[in-house]
Amino acid sequence: MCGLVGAKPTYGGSSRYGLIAFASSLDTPGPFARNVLDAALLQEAFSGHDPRDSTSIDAPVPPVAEAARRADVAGLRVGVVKELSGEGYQAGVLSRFQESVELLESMGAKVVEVSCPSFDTALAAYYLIAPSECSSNLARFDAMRYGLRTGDDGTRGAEEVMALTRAEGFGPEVKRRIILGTYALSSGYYDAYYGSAQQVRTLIKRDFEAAFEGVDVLVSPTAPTTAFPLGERTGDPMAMYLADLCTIPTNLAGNAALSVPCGLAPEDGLPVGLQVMAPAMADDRAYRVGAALEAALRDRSGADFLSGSPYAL
Amino acid sequence: MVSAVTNGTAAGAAPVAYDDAVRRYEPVLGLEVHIELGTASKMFCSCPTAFGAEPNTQVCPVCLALPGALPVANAKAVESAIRLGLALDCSIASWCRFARKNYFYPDMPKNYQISQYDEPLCSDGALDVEVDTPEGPRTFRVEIERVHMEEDTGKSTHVGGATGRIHGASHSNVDYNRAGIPLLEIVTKPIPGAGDLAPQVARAYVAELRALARSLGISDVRMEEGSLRCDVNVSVNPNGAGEWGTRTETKNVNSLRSVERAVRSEIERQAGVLDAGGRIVQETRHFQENTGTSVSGRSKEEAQDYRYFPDPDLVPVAPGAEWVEELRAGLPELPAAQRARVRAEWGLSDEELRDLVNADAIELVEATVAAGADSGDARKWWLNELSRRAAESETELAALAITPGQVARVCALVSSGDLTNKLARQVVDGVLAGEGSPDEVVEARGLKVVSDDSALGAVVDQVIADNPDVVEKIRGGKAAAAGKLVGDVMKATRGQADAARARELILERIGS
Repeated sequence: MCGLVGAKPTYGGSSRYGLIAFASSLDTPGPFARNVLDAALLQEAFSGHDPRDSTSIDAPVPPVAEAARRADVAGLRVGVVKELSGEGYQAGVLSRFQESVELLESMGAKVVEVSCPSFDTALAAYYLIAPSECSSNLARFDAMRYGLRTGDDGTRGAEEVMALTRAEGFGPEVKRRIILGTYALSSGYYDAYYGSAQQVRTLIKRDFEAAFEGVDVLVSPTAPTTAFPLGERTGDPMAMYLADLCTIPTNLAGNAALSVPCGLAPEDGLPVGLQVMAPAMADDRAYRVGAALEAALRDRSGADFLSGSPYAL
Repeated sequence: MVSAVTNGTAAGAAPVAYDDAVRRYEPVLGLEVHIELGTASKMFCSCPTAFGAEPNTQVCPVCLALPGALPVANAKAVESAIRLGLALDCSIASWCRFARKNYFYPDMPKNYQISQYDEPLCSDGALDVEVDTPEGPRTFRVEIERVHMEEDTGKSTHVGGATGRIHGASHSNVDYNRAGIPLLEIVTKPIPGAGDLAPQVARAYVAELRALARSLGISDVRMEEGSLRCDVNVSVNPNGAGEWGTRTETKNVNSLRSVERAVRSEIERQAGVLDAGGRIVQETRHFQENTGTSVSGRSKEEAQDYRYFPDPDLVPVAPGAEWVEELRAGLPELPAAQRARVRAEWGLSDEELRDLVNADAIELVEATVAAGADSGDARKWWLNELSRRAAESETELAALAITPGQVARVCALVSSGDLTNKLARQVVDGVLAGEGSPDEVVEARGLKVVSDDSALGAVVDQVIADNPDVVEKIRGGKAAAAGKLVGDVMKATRGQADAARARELILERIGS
């Protein structure tokens, strides 16, 4: 939706060591690039097992650069996720997405519709799991050992200095998530919130597993709408969270995904993204599809279509 | 009618004398023991674990919780936990996770402690402990609820106050060397039925657990250094009440003696509160070494919410059945079996065994016997002379600068007649002073018994010549008078003579 190629590699495909933790079970370093091959080269460079991150996977790095160069979808089975379209999706997003799917089909991909019913609950689960982990991960920013320290004037105890520092240092969205997460983990609420969110997560994983028995990759729009103006939704967190609707299932499942620009929405001239989702450690499949689509779109428009946007730099 | 309002908790009530308290109230115990593992590195990073280093010299990004640092579980610590679990006859989980225990405290770098919550590695075990009663030793089975792994916190020192406590302090220093040291927490199930023996049962349990950890070699279990720490839970209920009372948890119990005293004083205190019509407040109490009683700490009635959840930074611990069986097969002889065996092998009485246990000397005596000494001689050396030396230098018996092999050599020199007991003690002095092996000390100090007849003969002749009156008595049939001459020979040789040979020579020369 910003006109860039972006990847969400398999969780554990690369090390989280050195990454400031937000939500440990979801945090995945990923590349942003101008094109699919650049993204692949960058991802391949930072991927691989790290003994300092025990959640990193000790297996060969998926050959994403090779896949990006191959850029071929002939015979590949592509599933369109039924739940990630329809009401709430911008018309121009859906039309560009549909055209891209047809383009893939014209290149030899076998396209089918796939249903992943649990995806409807993904957003709710994400906004319990991520804030819960975030509330704990951000606890270390307490002014005791490093970073900002507020109100340490000799009259206050450690606890008060911690509280003043955290009140000053964290922004409103971070505080909102810390409070949400603290609440969700509280005794008496754990089972209803964090516990059931983890169950939803399992259901989402199963939906993916079932889907990947019939298709090689899944596709959907990357976001329901094109980019909204900076600051427009800060007063309405729910509307802002909805922008993540399509990318969250992959994040919760720990799978791989790639977003490629697939045209401009006619109504606002802003880029639309297409998301390719692949099983864990099969990142290369997403890159194959992304690179093929990128090449086909370039061939069709004869140039970089993004330059046609009124917002092009 | 409204009755007079009294202090609802009767917290200030006078304690009840112990014998009276346990006659009318049934105590129920619960013990939580933390053991710091003796692994080379910390629980989740590779920092060293040595005790007593300069503050904040054994730290790294992980145990200081710098942004971006991640924990990796110490496999050796997991192995130690499993071995203790097996020794306690626990079930070992085939899959379990670490959990985060969230609370803010300056000595906890991440502001959460990595621990285990509802998925402990080991559960449902038991440890038999023995206490002395007027009717002889009695065995209690203490049921183990769980053994789980966690990390230690840093250590705060409160400066500027009168008592070293946080109240009244001007500032606090935090040493993070201890942060991340692997800990095992061993939690008992409630222990009812100990009655008036409750304090001894508590002590015996901690002592036995310590012996177990030591025999497994997983920790140095030194209470004075905090590598074994004990929290004592006590409740009392009036006899026949059927329902257990509210419990308190006493912390800062830093010796076996304190364990016993803490239980005893808490039973007395709670009985006093209940006698006065009060109720027991569920709280943490702090044991005071100087008074042998505890003072009220934080109330647990508004329990802190630790917001436990599985730590997403760590993968589950899933010990394979084969590995667990390998560890089980590799367990050493456990203390109870060892005691039974040495008792039979060495023919010990209850008391002799107890002395040996209390002195922590079984292993040392065993090693000395293995090096060729008689068990009686070995016990005598370790329990008398060497225990005294250890006490004098305030060190543990095992830390003395003498090996079981050297003690065995001293025993051998005594039984061959090369050394008298008195000389042997001088040899031990030399060894402890770092002068070398027993033989080297004998050589260097010239301590060998003089039994060579020509050397001894000259001294004997001189003594006979110097004591004509005594010689007369002996000739007159008073053989016992020879003792005086033997004594003079010993004096003249500065104790190095073979007394028995000297006596023979004296009687020979006098011709009686």
